[in-house]
This record gives sequence, structure tokens and C-alpha cells, in this order.
Amino acid sequence: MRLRLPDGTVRTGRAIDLSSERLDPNEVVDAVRTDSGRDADCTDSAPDTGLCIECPEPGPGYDRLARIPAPNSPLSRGELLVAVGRSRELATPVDDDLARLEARLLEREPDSDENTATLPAPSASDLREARRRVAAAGDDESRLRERVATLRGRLNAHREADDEEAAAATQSELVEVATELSEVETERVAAKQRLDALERAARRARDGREERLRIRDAIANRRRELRAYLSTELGDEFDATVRELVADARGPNDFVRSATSGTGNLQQTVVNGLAAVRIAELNAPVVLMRQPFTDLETAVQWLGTPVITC
Amino acid sequence: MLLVVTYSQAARTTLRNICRTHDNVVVRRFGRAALFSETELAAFLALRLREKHDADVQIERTEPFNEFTAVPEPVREAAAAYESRDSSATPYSKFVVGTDYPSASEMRDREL
Repeated sequence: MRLRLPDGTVRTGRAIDLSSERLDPNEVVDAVRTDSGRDADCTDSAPDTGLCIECPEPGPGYDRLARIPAPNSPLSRGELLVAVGRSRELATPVDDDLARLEARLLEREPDSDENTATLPAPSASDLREARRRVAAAGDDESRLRERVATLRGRLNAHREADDEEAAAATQSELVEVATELSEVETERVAAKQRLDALERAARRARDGREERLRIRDAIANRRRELRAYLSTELGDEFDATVRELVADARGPNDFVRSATSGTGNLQQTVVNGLAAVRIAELNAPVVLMRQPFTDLETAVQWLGTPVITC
Repeated sequence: MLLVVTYSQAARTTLRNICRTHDNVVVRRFGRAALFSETELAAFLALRLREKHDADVQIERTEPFNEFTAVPEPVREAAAAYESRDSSATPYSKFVVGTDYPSASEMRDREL
């Protein structure tokens, strides 16, 4: 492994100690992911000013195992063993199902480029505006309808009273209001049609969401089965490796420094992470935040991978 | 739409079978209930379900909810204002004090 620091310093070897450099471990893992496998050129003449790492390409499982302890929440035994299984490219009975479901989910994602068949879902504010228009047009319509009924009544009264002049005035007002009413009716019908169309589109979008939820549930079930399967396949080996490490931290000092482990008890998440890396098939360097081994060479030997400490 | 709710294992099984064979009638499925489209076929299926399972089947007719026709303006505004309140810990009873928004008990007694 060959590593160039932002200041241009170049380090090489299977184990590199960066603990004095105050680097963000995430940045180191990112550099491994982006630089390795491509023809990274981390010579000091390279123009790039950031961190650069030449190393074997990280294989499957590396994402989960690259940092010890894992960032955010600690990984469960099952999650670690899935990563170990991936790194070894172990075949499992759920692989086919899982791949098929994941592909189905991917092609149903609304923002997927291939998925041009699904129209965008109408926004909540579009729907609200359409409902408001229907309601407003409906109110106008009933107001005008009442007005037409009143004018009709008045017109009849004027005619019965033989008041020609008043009847003519009412008649012309009635024509005006009736015209307005028919316009508002047209408006309401148009507003209703638009709302119906939006609601149909919203329903189609919900169909899609429901389908995606169903697939996600199925994926979660398959992943649970995957964890259970790999726990059975790899559990004994993992537990034995954990015991080996814990026993060494407590017992006669062999490869684990008791100083780092404080009272002699290594933090369980660190122990689990280290054990998983040991039984995994990783080629790319792992990044250790806490280094419990007597020296870095021992760490490399025990873990079977290149090591960077931060 | 027609909301069909079942209250026994047997009725639920029949509903599930209907949903499986009449995909185009079913708008949405939820466990032991389903929303059917507003068609004669949907009504026919719902009625057959009720004929078969009697009191174990509830059928309701639903309609789209338009808050601008159904809900008085103060209630709509109160909902919007409360959801954009500054402090998420403020209960509604405290939030309405000194405002024109209706209290929960006022709203409880008024029919929509």
C-alpha cells in the first residue's frame, strides 16, 4: 500500500500509522474506495493535493468492515457475518430472491431513468388547490342558482300584477344572471374534471408506493433469512475468533496490549469488528480508530489485511 | 368508493379471495378491509360477501374529502397554524389560548 498525505508526504507498507495526522477516518475510507482499483498514482509529483491511497480494490463487504469501531451505530453480529459472507463471496439460498427483489425495487423507483411509464405524483398543494377551486365554483353556483330562483319568482309576480316595465327589467337581469350561472357551471365542471384527473394520478402514485413498500418488506424478510443463514454458517468460527481475542486481552500478553484495553476488557463492538475482519476476505486496508495490538505488524498479521490507524 | 371491513376469519378469507380474483375492483387493501371501486361489480361482490357472512361484513360508502366544502374555515386554519407552531411540545389546549381558533371541546360538539 502506498499513501500520500495532503502535505505531500508519502508512506508505504502493509501498516501505516496516521494517528498523529488527525485525519478523519471517514476520509481515509473514502480515499481507499475512490483511489484503489483505478490506476491511482500517488507519487509525490501527482497534482492532486488531497489524501491518496494506492491499494488493492475493496471487494464486497468492505463497506461494512472498513472502520473499527463502525461509524454511527455498532453493527450486530448478524450484520457483521453478512459482510463476512459477502467478502468471501459465499453463495446463500436467498441470493436469487434477494437480487430479483432488489432489481424489481430499482425499476419501480419513481426517479429511476428507465421508469418513464410512471407519471410524477401530483403534489399535495396541487391537489389542495384543485379541491379549493371545486369548492369555490360550487359555492358560486349555488349562490347564482338561488338568485335565478328569486328573479323568476319576482318576474312572475310582476307579470301577474301586469307591471310590464318592472317585468322587463327583471327579465333582463334574469338573463344576465342566468348567463353568469352557466359560465360558473362550466367552470365547476372543468374544476371537477381537473380534480378527478389529479386524484386518479395520485391513486396511481399510491399504487406504486404500496408496491414498493411490499417489495421493501419482502427484501427485509429475505435479509433476515440471509443473516440467519450466515449466522449458522459462520457463527462458530466468528465466536471462536472473538474468544481468542478476548482471552488474549485478559491472559498472558501475546499480541494484544492490555494497556489499550483498559481493565483488560476490550470494547465488545471493537472485538466483534476485529474478529469479523480476521475471518473475512478483505484485500483493502481497514481503518482502526483504536489499536489494541502490541504493534501494527501484529495487527496486520492477525487481521490478514493492510491496516491504517487514525 | 365502497369500504368493506370483515370481522371473522372466514369473511377475511373470502375477502382475500375476492381481492385476488378481482384485481380491477380493488382500489386498496388493508389487512382485513378493502376499498372497492364505485362500480356495480364492486357492489355485487360486496353484497355477495355480506350474504355469505352476514354480520361479519361491514360495507360503507366513502367519498373524496374536500376540506374546502366540508370543513369550516376556522378549523382548517387552526390545523394549519397548529402544525406550524414554534414549539412542538405545546399542546393544542394551550396553543388556542388568546387566539380565535376553536377549542377541541367546541369542535367535538359541532358536527361536520
